Amino acid sequence: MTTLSLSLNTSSFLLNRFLLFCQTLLTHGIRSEESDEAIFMQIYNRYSRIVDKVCFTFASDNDDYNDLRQDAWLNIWRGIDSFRGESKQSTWIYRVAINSCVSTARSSKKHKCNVHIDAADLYTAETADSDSIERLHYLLSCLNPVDRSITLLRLEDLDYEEIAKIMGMPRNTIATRLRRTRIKLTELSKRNDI
Amino acid sequence: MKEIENILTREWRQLSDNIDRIAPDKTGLDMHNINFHRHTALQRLAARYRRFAIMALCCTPMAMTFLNSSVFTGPDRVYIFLFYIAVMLSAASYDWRLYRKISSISVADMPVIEVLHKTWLCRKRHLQFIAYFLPVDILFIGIMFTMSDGSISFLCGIIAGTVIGLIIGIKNLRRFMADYRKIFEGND
Repeated sequence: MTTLSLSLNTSSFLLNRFLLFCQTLLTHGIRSEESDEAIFMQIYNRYSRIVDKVCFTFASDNDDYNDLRQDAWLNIWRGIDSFRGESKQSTWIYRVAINSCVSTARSSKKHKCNVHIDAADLYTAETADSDSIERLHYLLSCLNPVDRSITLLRLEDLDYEEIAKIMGMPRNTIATRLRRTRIKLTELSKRNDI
Repeated sequence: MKEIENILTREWRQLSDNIDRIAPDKTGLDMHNINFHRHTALQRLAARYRRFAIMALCCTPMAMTFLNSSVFTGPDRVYIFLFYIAVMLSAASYDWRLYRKISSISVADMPVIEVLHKTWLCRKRHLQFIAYFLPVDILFIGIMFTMSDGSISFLCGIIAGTVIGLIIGIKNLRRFMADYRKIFEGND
């Protein structure tokens, strides 16, 4: 009797799993390689500037910058499936790009305050504002990864709620850290006569 | 204070304008240049820990050589044998644990602070692992030295290795802990 009930339970479980699998196939369809590429292409065209700016903020030189971009786009490509649409697509892109940058292990020596990025040349080749962009990068590179991320998001005109969502921190903490960062940057720019 | 924000905002807009203006091919990376078969930095790190765990596991059977060695005699052979197995197995399990921890980091799903916490925790554990295994390794070499017939060059090697290892280890640990405190100060 026990064996019979056990086998019935097992077969009903397997049947349920099979039905669930069929339902998933019918709802979403089998995602082809082409459709993945089309979605990615769309994301790339729309958000590549966001990724560029995040990587610029965290990079210490040109090679580092290109590595960070590669990693960020790879993570976006591999994470497309996990985007559930609970937040805006741009919010998700910011999160993945920042996560890619902060999780990349680098020696702290390389990330000392006095790093000057050559990547600024990429963006200032057609203008004469390389000094201001280098100064911007210098000031941001003096901040720790959390403050740098928050400042970057604020400079991108994101509101506190959205920053809190990306960072996974309470809204008040974001406000406090931003205030401290402002004080720190003011002192830094005075000290270095920027 | 507001002044610095205005300056940064202005410069940030300038950067954004430049990025918008620049042709994609000049940025050094366009969509077709992305290598989709490449591993990310985190994946490479995880793979390295897995490799070390497997290497440590593969080195464990080498303990058999202590049982057949002519340098050690009597029960010393068994003590060295057991000590070596314990060191290798704990090294393998620690590396495997770090591999699992790093693999669990999902940059697409987790908020930034969680990713940062996890990566820093892994680095902390890595340094703790070094701090724990360095004396154990020194002890192991010391035991091997006392149990063997001993030579002056072997002793010099042990002393030099210990001093250099301790200096590098303590320096890295201090730097890391300072960075760690700096990053997470003020977090609720």
